[in-house]
Amino acid sequence: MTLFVLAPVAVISLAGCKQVVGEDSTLARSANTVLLADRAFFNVTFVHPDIQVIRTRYRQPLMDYLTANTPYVGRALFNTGSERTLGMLETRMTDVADLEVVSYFDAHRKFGAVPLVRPLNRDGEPVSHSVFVTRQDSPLENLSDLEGRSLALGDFHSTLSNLVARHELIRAGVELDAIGSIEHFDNDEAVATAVLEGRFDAGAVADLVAYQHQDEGLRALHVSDPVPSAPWVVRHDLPARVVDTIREAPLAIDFEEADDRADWEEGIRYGFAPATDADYDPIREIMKTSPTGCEGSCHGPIGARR
Amino acid sequence: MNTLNRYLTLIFSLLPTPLLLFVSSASDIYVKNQSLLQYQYQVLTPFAKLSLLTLLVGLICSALSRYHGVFRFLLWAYYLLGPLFLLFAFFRSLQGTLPGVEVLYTTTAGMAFWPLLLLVATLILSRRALSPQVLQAVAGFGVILFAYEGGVLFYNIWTYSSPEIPAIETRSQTAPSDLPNIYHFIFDAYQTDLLEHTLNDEAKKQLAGFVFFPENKAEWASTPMSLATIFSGRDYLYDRPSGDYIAHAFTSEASFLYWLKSKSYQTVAYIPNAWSGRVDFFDRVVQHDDAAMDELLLMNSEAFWNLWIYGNSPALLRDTVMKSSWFAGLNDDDLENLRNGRLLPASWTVTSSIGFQRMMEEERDLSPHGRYTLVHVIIPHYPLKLRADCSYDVGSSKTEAIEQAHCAQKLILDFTNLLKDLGRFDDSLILIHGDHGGPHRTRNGELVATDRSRSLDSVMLVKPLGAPSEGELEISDLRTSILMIPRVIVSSVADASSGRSTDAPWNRLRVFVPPLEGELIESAELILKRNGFSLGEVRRVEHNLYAEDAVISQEPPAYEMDPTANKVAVVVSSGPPVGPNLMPNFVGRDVVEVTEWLERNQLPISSIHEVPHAIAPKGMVVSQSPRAGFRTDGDVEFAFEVGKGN
Repeated sequence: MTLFVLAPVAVISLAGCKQVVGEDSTLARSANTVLLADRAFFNVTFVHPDIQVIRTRYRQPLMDYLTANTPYVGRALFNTGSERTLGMLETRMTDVADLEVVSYFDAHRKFGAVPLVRPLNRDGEPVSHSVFVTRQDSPLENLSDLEGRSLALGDFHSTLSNLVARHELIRAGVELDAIGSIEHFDNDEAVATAVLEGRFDAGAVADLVAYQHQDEGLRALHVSDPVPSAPWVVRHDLPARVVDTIREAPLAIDFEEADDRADWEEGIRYGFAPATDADYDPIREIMKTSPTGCEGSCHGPIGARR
Repeated sequence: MNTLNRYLTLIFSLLPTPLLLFVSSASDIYVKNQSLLQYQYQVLTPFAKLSLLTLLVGLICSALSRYHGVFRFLLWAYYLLGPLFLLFAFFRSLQGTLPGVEVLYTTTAGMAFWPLLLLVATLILSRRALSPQVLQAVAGFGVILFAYEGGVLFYNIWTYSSPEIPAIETRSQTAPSDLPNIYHFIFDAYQTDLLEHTLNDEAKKQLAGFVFFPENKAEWASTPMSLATIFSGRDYLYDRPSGDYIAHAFTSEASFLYWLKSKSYQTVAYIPNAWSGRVDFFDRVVQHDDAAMDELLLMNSEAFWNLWIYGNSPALLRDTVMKSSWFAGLNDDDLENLRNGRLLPASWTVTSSIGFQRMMEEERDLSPHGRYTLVHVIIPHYPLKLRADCSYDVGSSKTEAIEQAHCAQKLILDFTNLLKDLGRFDDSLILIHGDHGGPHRTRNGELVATDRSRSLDSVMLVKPLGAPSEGELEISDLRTSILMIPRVIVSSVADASSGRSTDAPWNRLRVFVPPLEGELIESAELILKRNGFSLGEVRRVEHNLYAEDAVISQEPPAYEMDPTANKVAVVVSSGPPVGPNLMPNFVGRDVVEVTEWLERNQLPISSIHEVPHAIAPKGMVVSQSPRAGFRTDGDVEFAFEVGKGN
């Protein structure tokens, strides 16, 4: 008999313990309430080599800044490859894309994408450098010492760790054939790691990556002339009102107050400058003189791809 | 009573093993996946049967245990099997957190440990019979477990059921006879390349009367946004949340569905479940899943069974066994889904195909006039389940994109042939299009899948009103957008009503005045231009409820047909009034600005609450009341919610 009593009690007391939990209750809101959720989103997509381990917090302050300083809500998205990011921009899965210059040229050519802003560096200039790095204890002293040595380069689509790096070698009179081996890696981080681990004598990376690893045993072997920093890119048909607003807000970030933004990612914390298509003509010139002969889309394969 | 109590004690003591083995393990998986399983709790039936069978085995062992030691051994093994299974599942959940546990699940020796443990424990314990005290304790556990599992299942099955959309019977007798039927088919992810690769001469002949626009583009690669552009005929201008824009496209005056209803069209939709909340203007809604419940149950049961086996089997041989054709025959995609904790029944495409065929069966009995029929099928969209003839396997299988594209084309041809048989083809307007493309590209004449995102190249086929099935498919080189669909529909119907013979509907402009209310002035100008009008006088007034630059009203009014004027005057909001005693907009600003403003104006704070918020950082105002522009004097409560930070 005990069992007959116990069973229904247990049913009543235990039923629902594993119930699917619904959405959190929200405060009752009147028609007189206006919400942040009433705003339109705009997505900014960044390319990151590994979205599994990505930490969004370094870019989130910028998104918070944009939310506070525009009528929209800024949202950071991440993608592993520039090609996919470009596709997302083309099909409006994202509104703004942080693209490499070479990828921007692709986007501009294929669907008329336009540059919006470009980030400032730690000197307050909207430029970047390609940096050839080697280990602190390496005997290499300049680019001509690379003859017969191994060299790690970035992705074929990379502007700084491939296109400009090759250009610098040509300017230095170093024949590519004279280099012992050249290998391309998927991203600059992988290049830096390969050099640090001694698998390659030297590597070419973006200046930001070189700075990040200088305390870990890397030193600059050669720094390129400045080239315009990679742009934030939008579709040409994004409404003018939206374009103007999204451009103005990052331009208002004060370079002089960069120290107050220590929690921002290095590549965005110094502020931005306006970007136009003509700003990237110097890189177009580099592409024209590239030994691959590419114009508009420079992905000529040289060496084995890892 | 004692005898009854003894039997009940025995039965409840035997319950934990089947409950732990089959019910508890299946119940957890069901609750987590019930919406994907369309709340078909019948997928649990095999597990209930297995439980009863196991219980029967236990009863037999118990009855015979007094006669032979083997049965006593088996009975002990029976009792121990459930707790051992619990232990097995418990330690498996600790993989990755407790070092060394993996060995028990990924090595042959580790896997041998579990049956060995059972054997040794049974050998030791079966030397003695179960004492009545132990039996009662196990029975008590059985009661609690039974109540718990029963309660959970009962609660979830009772509480959660598939959302029902009220179906209204089609009033075939009252359909207006002067209005042509409109058939509107949306094939999800139907990329132009796919149709081009399946179009042969025979298909072109069967599609005579249609015009194919290979240069057509969707505006968005996201289905909800793309559908919104189709039904509103206007693009998104970031002037409101995208969710509001989507809702507006289906449930407001801006929707061509509104216009169809105002013309007394009967509106019927055959759609996937995802349309919920967008069906206000439909007289009758048939969800594909509802039309294919029997087929779904078969697929869901198969998927659920695989999920249960995967979730409760040792990792050592699991993938190999489940991929083998003699067992589940799963493919790599299925296993990847399983690794992520879910095996989707992969039924979207199949239920779409079945729903389409059910729609064709109904078509024969419905009115030849006055109907707008919308059919949205998730074909040739992923997952790839359908063969070229639209057949499929209940279990795991994977076809090719091109096969599913053939299936899409087959459905189109079947339907057009049906209309021809019914004598309805010539007098109907038929629109067939994709909502976006897929990841396909045509290289050297071959269709290849790429890593790129979806394409915007989407199929567009239009069979104009009155066009007979003569010759073959016409191919137009016009660059079109799916934004043209409302214009094609409205102008076709207008022409039919007026009896005029005019240009092709996609070339017709100024057929009707488009609704502009709520649009930003730039958007309104664009919409007018796209429809052959220009912006007339613009008057501005302050307005609390309309955003700055949003259109409040227009002249001529929306949907006026064949207007004589080509300019449309509008009244536009200049935003909420500003000035003393008026509320500013603090949303998105720092809460410090709120407190400073309140202090400066000597106003009381009614409430400032910190709330967790997905978007806002700590201190950002996420809501305010009153709205910007409302008066702050009098009896006003100032309430703010502020981000708590992540």
